[in-house]
Amino acid sequence: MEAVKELSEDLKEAVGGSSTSARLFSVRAVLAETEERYEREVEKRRELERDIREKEDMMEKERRELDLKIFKLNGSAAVVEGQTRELLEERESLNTRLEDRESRIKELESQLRGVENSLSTATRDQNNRIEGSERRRQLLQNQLAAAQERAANAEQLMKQMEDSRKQEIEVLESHLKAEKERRLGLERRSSGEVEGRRISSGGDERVFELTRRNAELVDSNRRLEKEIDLVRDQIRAMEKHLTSGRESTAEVADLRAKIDAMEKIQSVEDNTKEHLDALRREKEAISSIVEELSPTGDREEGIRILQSISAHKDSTFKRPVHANKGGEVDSILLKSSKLKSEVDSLKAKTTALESALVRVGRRVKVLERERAALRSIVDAYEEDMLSNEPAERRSERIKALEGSLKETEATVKTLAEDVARGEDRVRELTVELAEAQARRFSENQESSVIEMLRSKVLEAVKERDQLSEKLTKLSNVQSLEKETDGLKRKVAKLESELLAREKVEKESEGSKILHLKDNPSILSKPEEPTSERKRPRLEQDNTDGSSDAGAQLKKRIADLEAEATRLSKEEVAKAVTEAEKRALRTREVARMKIEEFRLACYNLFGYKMQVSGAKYTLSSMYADREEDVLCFGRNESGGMELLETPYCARLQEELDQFLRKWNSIPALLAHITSDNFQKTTVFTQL
Amino acid sequence: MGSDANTVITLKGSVEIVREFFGFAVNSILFQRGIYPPETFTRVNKYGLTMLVSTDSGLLKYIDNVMNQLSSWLATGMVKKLVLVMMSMDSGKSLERWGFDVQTDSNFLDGEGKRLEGEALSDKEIMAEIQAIIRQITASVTFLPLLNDPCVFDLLVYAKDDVEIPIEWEESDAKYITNQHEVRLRSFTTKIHKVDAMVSYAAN
Repeated sequence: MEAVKELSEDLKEAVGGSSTSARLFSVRAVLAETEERYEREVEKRRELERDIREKEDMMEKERRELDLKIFKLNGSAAVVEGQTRELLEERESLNTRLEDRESRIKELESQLRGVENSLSTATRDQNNRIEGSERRRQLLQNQLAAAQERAANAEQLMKQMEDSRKQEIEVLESHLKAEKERRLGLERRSSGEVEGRRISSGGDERVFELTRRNAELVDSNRRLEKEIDLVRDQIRAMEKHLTSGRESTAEVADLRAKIDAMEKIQSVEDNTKEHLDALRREKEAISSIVEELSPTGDREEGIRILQSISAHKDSTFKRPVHANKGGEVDSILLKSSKLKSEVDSLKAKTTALESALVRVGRRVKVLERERAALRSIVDAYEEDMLSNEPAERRSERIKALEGSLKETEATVKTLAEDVARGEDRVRELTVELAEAQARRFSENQESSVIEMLRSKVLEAVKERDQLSEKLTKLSNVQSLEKETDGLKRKVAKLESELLAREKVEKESEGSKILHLKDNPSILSKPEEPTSERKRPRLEQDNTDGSSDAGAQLKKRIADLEAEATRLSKEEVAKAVTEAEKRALRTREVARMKIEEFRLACYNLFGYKMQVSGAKYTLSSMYADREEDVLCFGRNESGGMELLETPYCARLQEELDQFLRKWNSIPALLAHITSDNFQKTTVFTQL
Repeated sequence: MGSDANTVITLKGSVEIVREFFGFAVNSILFQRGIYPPETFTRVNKYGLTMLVSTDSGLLKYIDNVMNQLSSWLATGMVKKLVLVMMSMDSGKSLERWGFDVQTDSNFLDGEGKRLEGEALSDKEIMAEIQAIIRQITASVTFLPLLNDPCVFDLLVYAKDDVEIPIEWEESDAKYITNQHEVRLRSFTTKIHKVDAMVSYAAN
């Protein structure tokens, strides 16, 4: 608008000038200026447009960036939302875990109490037993030492007795020798009766005395031997005692091992206690968090608030959250059920162990009683030893002791076996307890989450495998479906065909389908006759005695004649010539075909066939003579039967076998062919 | 035509109408389907249409023979159906079947020279119906498959069981088409004879 004003002003100035040429010049100048201005304005406008476009582009870019930022923020918001969901889920899982843990803690506490009680009783019993066995061992060692001393004393006594006995025997032997020498001297000097009688009487007394003393010595010797035997038995018994003492030491070692095992169990218990303490601490921490949630600091109120929050969140996140939570809760429930079953099995085992321990305690009591009895016996033996009891009684007691010792040995063995079994059980239980604790401990840790995730991943992989299997199955199913579709289509096709046939059959029901024999459409093309037309023509031209064909021909001629009566002479002549030509041609063709057919049959089946009426004469290719022919005729049922020929007389066996027995003409013909062929080949070979 | 008045018809007249229709229909089909060369056909005005009729003496004689026999059977109510079958010359397989179902009013078969008055259709009406069928036959060339192989034809007459078979005639098989498609054509009636036309052809 401003430019237009300027232009009008310039024009006014120019018009206001002196001459027209000058005015025109000035007008042109003004126009040129205005054009320049206009161009400048246009350029400015373009620049402005460019600026606007640039600004628009910038704005577009900024808008895109902002969209991107919004998109990113939305993504981050979604992530945060997901995280919050996860946190809520975690919180819920923690709540459930907390509850589970509390219940587990209670169970474990009760179990621990029971185990502690049982362990304390068991350790007390074991300590008592060990003390008792150690006391017994010391007593037995003392007894052994005393018995050894006694045995040494007895051996010394025996030696002394043996020495004194030997000395006495030697003395007595020397006395006997001296007496014998005296007797011999007195016998030699038996010259005087008085002196001799006196000496003999004195010698007899001495001999008597010596024999008596000798008998006494023998008795004493026997007694001493018995005593020695008794003492030896006592030594043996003492030695046995000693061995039993050693066995008791082994028992003590076993008991110590048991104590060690029990100590291990106690250490495991300590660990569990520590875990329990940790769990309690966790529980306290969580409960404090829960208490903090409530304004009054009440725990139950805090739990209620937490539940309400979780319910609210559940309602907001609905199904997916529920699904995830449900999955985790299910897995935790499964684990808790597994743990419960493990704890139950452990409880059962501990009860079994306790019962075994009770049994062992009873046996130990029995053993202690036996030991006490043995001790009393040993004491009595010592007293006997001290009071110089007779050797026979001692030996009896020792025997009784030996019997009781054997019994105790047997009981000790059975006890040791029971203890070993119990120890094995205890070991198993400790191992299981340790495993269970390890599981619990691992569950408590955060690594369990990773394990859970791993298991989930594994499950997902399994699911994927299953899905891939299903997919392969589905692909198989799809291929099968395709096949079935194809088959269905085929079935439908066949059904439609069947329906069409049924329809045609229905149409033709109760009616005859007729057609005129002489169809010019078919007869006018003899070079390419249809298969259906070939057959009757062959039959027609089979004139080698075929009366039917002849009759047909006659009929045809009669028909033609009848037709000719209706037609004019020229037409008749024409028709006759045509018919004759046609007949001749068909005859020629038929003959050729028949010859070809016969030759083919002869070469293929080995038989030349001649038909005369209903009689079929066959002559084999390998027949010896021309007269060897077989004649067949039709029977009443329409089948073929052999007619009598001279050749048949030579084929009685074959006829019996193939016709009467098997009723097969082809088999007979084949047999005859092969038989004749073999004969001819034999002939040619020869 | 067998009717001298517009609304009167006799059995003989009806037979004549039907016979004439069959003759023209067969000629037309043979021309349309190229069974015989077109140069062997000549034009004839019939039914208000230009019809093509064969000049082949053999064919004409054959059709005449068939129609003569058919007339006698139509007069006695023996005919149930006339079928024109096209077969492959090489395989003998049926490719097309033109069927004309014939229903005869049995009331007119007893009394000779019995007339149907009043209810009968006029010549024009019958002609119009026949014209429609002939038009359909001509038009059916558009949907029928091409006959590539050289073909032969046969005329089959479905007659009642108690029919006497002349010497020139013989029994035939139905020559039905496996996996066929069927198209119903129009029909015409003389009130004594009713002719329903249809064509079935081998589906590829």
